[in-house]
Amino acid sequence: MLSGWPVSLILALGLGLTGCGPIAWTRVTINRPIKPRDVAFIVPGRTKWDEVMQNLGAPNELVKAPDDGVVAHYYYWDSKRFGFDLGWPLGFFLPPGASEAPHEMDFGNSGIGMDTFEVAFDGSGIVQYDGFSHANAAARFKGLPFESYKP
Amino acid sequence: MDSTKSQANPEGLSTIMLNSATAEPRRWVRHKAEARPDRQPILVGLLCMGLIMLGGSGCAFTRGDLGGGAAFTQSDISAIQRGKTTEAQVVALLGAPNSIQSINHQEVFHYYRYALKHSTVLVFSRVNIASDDLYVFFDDDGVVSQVLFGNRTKQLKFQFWPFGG
Repeated sequence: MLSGWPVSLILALGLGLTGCGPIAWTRVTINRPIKPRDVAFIVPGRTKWDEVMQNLGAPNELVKAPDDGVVAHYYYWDSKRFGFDLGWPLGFFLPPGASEAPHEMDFGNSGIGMDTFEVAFDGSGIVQYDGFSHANAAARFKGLPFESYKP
Repeated sequence: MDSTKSQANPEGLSTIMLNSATAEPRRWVRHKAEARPDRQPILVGLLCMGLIMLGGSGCAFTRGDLGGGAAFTQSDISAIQRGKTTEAQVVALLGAPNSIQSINHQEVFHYYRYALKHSTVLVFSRVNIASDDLYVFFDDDGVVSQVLFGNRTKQLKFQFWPFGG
């Protein structure tokens, strides 16, 4: 499973390489989000490994836990970018030759968020706990690059 | 164009008055045109610029795959049988795994593939990426004890609208 920096790099490249027009709304997602109602059937202490795998499918990552257990991760990445080029209209007014010179004035703002659903199983395959990371709020369309992220 | 329209046309505003038989709206349009004689070229220019900006952005549809080898086929998955297939047979079928883990005293082969669908329409772009994950668990004898397959790429869609879910 790709994770961490490689995925962030893919998302950043995806945001940068698409929507190269004078104004662009761009979004890159990896996988589909898991919603709370999709995992409502999970009851810690009762639900078994097979039930979880049957309902949610294979996880994106399995991590060994210290107590012979295992933690299953389901990832959802979402990244959004809004950008515009204020210099683009100058191309219509600059004289021939001068219009070939760089006249971009790009403004953009992007955010990358990752939401993880995590289920931990003990050595006998019983769910110990489950939960969402709720770290997806950073992915939203913003106007100017001078605006900082406020969760 | 009829004569009425051509009389009303010196300022190039005939489209507003095309079917107008009365003199009243014609006077109104003339009045507006005379009051701001230089407004129209700017508006037309801005309109053209907007259309070029929208049209110039164009459309694009791209598909890509990331990860080792070809996508998993149903025959590949069904060929891996619990209690029968060995590690060597799995490797011969699918190649070397992307990662090998030891979980709960079992060896686990993890294979993954990524697929990408990208759409751009005018100023909107969306890239959807999904992964297929295959886990093969082996017992102490190196025989398959469990197969887990998650096929997310079959639900992958071309979408250009970046808003919403």
